[in-house]
Amino acid sequence: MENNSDLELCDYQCVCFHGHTKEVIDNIIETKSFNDSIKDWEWLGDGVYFFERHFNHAKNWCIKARKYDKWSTVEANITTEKMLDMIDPDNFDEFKKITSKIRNRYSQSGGIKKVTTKLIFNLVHIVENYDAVRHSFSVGEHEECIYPTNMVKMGIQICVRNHDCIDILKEVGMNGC
Amino acid sequence: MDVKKYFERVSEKVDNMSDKDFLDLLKKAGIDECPLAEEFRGSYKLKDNGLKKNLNYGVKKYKATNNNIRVAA
Repeated sequence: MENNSDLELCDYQCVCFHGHTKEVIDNIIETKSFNDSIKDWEWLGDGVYFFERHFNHAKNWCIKARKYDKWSTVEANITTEKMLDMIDPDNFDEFKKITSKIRNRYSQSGGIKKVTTKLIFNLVHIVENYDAVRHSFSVGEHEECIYPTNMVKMGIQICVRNHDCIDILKEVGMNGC
Repeated sequence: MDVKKYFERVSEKVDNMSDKDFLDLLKKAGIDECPLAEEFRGSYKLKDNGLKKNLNYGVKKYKATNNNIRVAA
């Protein structure tokens, strides 16, 4: 069912960072290839996850979220003309509409599973493929925001489906080696 | 940029699928690995210490706190 979409989505080119254990990063550098992340918490669907532009997001993810003893990151250029940009409010609204449609139809068919955004992105990609998707996230707990405007620290994640969009530049910021 | 058209195509294809094809598509996308809806809500509540703490302050505060919780799902 997978289709090679002829549609131009968003042009995108940016330096991004992918963090992991030192062992995995060594393997990426050596083989010049990535494995898709397919864990339940991958909110943008299956693919290779990057933090856009800022190395410290990747570093903090390794240290604070995953608590790796020995970590490292890969710097890469991501280039595509088929980016699904969820930060664009119009795109977000379109995604929300298709999410509601899929959830309603699944529910009407007696479905009892939680329809996650990971599932929706996987489904959308099967129906009409794209190269990558990007969206913003807030970093840390709500208590860490700055009052009185509830200002929060933000980051942008990229989930890359088409590995041809990834041009590995170098390993950066390793520790414990 | 054809993002609107992109989602229209997806929507149209989903609309034109038979129920069997739709369920097969969900399977391929990973529905079997998703948690049960009820289980998901249960663990969401239990895992959040802040929410449990605020349950003691009554329904009004519970709702206000619940709105502020961010869950990646």
